[in-house]
Amino acid sequence: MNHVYEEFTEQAVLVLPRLRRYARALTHNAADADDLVQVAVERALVRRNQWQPGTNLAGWMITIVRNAWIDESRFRKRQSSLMLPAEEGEQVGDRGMEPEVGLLSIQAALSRLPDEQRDVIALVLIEGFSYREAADLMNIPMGTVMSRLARGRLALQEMLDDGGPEESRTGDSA
Amino acid sequence: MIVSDQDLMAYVDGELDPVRHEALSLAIERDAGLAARVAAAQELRRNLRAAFDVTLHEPVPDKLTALLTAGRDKKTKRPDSWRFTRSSAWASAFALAAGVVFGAWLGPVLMTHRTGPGATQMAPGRVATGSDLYRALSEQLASAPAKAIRMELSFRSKEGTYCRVFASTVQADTVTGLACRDAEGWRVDAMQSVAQGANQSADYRQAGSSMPSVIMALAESRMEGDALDADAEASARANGWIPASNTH
Repeated sequence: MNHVYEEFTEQAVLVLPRLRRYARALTHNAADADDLVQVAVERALVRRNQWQPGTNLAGWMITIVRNAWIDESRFRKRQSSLMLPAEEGEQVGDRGMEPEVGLLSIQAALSRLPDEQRDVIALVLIEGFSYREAADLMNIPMGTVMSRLARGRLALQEMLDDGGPEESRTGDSA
Repeated sequence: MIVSDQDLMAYVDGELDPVRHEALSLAIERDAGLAARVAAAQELRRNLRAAFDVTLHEPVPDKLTALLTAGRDKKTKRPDSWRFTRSSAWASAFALAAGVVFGAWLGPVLMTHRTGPGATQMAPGRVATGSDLYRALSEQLASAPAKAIRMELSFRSKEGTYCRVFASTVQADTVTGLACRDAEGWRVDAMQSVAQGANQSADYRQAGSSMPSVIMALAESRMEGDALDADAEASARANGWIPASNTH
């Protein structure tokens, strides 16, 4: 049993960067993202016996991150209905690392999408799951994956064409 | 050729079957408007990836890695790295005082008394036979796809009974609870709503975390051995969550 535990933790350490990336795409805020990953890793450790060694650990753990995010979103919605909406302005983050202006506009645009569009874009376009894998992971039909992807990407396109600074070319500032 | 946004994006994502993919490739060569749409979609894909590559290649904060490695270094059977920062004994006592709600679950409607910090303890509740929760506890494995009620994990308690941690979205709230099987059915020993978890003191609950550590700490303090793996869960379910007697 000890050996399985070690295999789990060794592989899980390697998966952490992907979990952080997915969480960051979902939450936009770096501190929230790492909190989300922390909750997910704690849950994964308790449930580690449910993971079959040799199967896709990244997918299994990303599912746990996703469920934790869903719980968190519900909690926040409930809180915001009880409290003053003081947290609203914090969505557009300018804390932590400051990527170049072009890149920031994409992250900010993504954060403005509805949750379900942001989620599917994070899974398919950023984490690289196939339509089928994303549909299974989210427990929705593939057609719904495709329509949410299309709506989300069109919305992003529009936001970036409209308001953002120049489209990013990697690196170079004016 | 008129191409829907969905098909165009499926093309860019490599999700079209080879025949349609080929057809679209040819169409793009002949249609500048189509080619422009494809180029825009491809650029958005690239830029999205690039924006988050930064996070992918950042060094991972120590506190996250430590969750996984600390236990290994200590060579303990169940790692302390993922225990909550207090001892299990404390957690049991704290749970009762800190807002864990004991309520009666009547069918699909959750009845609780919402109180602030220092909530009063109420009697443990029975899960109504025939309710969604009863059904889920009896039949749903932790590996099942997420639904309104989710099984987090199952374990054998130190008393020898089977217990399960569940999470349920009821009335736009997430309630997590611990239920154990006895001769009469399922008994909920502890429940906490996510919103109530927020009322706990800051040093007990991480900002932004929603999973009630109290429930997990209780589970861990009651657990004999490790949580059940998929096979053991299936086996327990087959036996109606009643431990097989030692004499057959």
